[in-house]
Amino acid sequence: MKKALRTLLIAAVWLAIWQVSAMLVGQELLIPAPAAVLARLWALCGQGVFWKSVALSMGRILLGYLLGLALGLLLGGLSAFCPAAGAFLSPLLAIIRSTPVASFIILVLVWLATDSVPVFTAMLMVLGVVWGNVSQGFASTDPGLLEMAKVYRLSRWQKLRHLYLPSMRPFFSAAALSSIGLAWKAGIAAEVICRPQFSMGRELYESKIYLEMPDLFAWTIAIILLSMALEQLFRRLLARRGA
Amino acid sequence: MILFENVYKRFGGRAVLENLSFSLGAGEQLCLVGPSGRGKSTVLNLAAGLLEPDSGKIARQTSRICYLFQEDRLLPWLGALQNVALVCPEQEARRWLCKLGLGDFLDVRPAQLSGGMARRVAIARALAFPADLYLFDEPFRGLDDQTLQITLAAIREATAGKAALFASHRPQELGIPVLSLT
Repeated sequence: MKKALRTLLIAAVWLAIWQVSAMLVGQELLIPAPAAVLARLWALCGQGVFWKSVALSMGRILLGYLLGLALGLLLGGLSAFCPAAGAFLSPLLAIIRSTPVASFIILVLVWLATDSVPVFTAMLMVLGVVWGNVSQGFASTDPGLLEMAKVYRLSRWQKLRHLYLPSMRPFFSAAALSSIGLAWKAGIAAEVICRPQFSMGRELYESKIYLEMPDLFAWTIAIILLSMALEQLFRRLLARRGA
Repeated sequence: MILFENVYKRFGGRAVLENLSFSLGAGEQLCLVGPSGRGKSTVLNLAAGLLEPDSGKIARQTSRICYLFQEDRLLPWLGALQNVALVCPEQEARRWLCKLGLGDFLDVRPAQLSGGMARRVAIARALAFPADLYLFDEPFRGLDDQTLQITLAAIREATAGKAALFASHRPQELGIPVLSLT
């Protein structure tokens, strides 16, 4: 209760700062007032196209996120258990980690349909984080426990199930949580650049083109709220699974 | 069952074992004694095949070797029963845990057990593993007098007629021949 009150108070102070800034600047084209933005967001919530854009953007980004998790697990495991494959694939991980997301988006736009670009971009961002963490997690398995497994002749399946996977799990959970926001931001950036039909990124881009600043702010708030909601959802899912 | 012949082992330039020779036949038991750092655990690691000697020869007549490590090395995410059942059928695991006075703690994870209880889980796992040669490193660490007697009886039952090599600061409890590493 006390925490909720404090959160509300902090939010109110920031809204006040926003309101004062908007009044000082005095131009809606630069900073729209919070009331105008919230009214616009409310109006958008009543439109079918808003929910269709939200649903399709979420679908694309979540698909990319899940693909990134799956591929990251696979390649992280391969890198940890097959050093030759790890050495062969490591330049790919370095490239994914160091290349600006905009370069990937533009490049992928040449190869794929516009609908698939946000999926691929989100997948790539998640892949880089999960791959590295999973590989590190497997490598962190206690050598003392591995010696115990050798002495007691545990089968490969027992070692995987009872030693490697539990050792890797906290690393995977941390990567899964930290990369949901990353996937969301990269996916929306990809939508802004490639503008698929019915997408939050396209709406954001068009708000900017037509200088509809309340719309731009309203869409941005919607994106932030959805990102936070998704992160909370995944945090609870992972906590429920004891990860 | 196992033979050490002129075994040398060094760590970082320091000789831990020099010209060590002994043998242990089927049914024979021996307790290594000596101050800390004189190589008792190294001998057990060499016997288990986890280390290789720098020179000398180690010959084993069996590959079924059970090793109770100096540390418990229990899986922290599994309960006591699951930890022991990794190496034997669950019924057998339950039997050894009950014998060691842990019947009421079958589902408890190592972090929630006392040091002595966790030690007994590790001992139950060692005793439940079918082996021809048993290696025990400080088996009585953390045990009080009452649980020590229970544990001793269980170890004697499991290792009866088998070769066993102990490293312990309390050889008098075992009542077996002693090899001093000084």
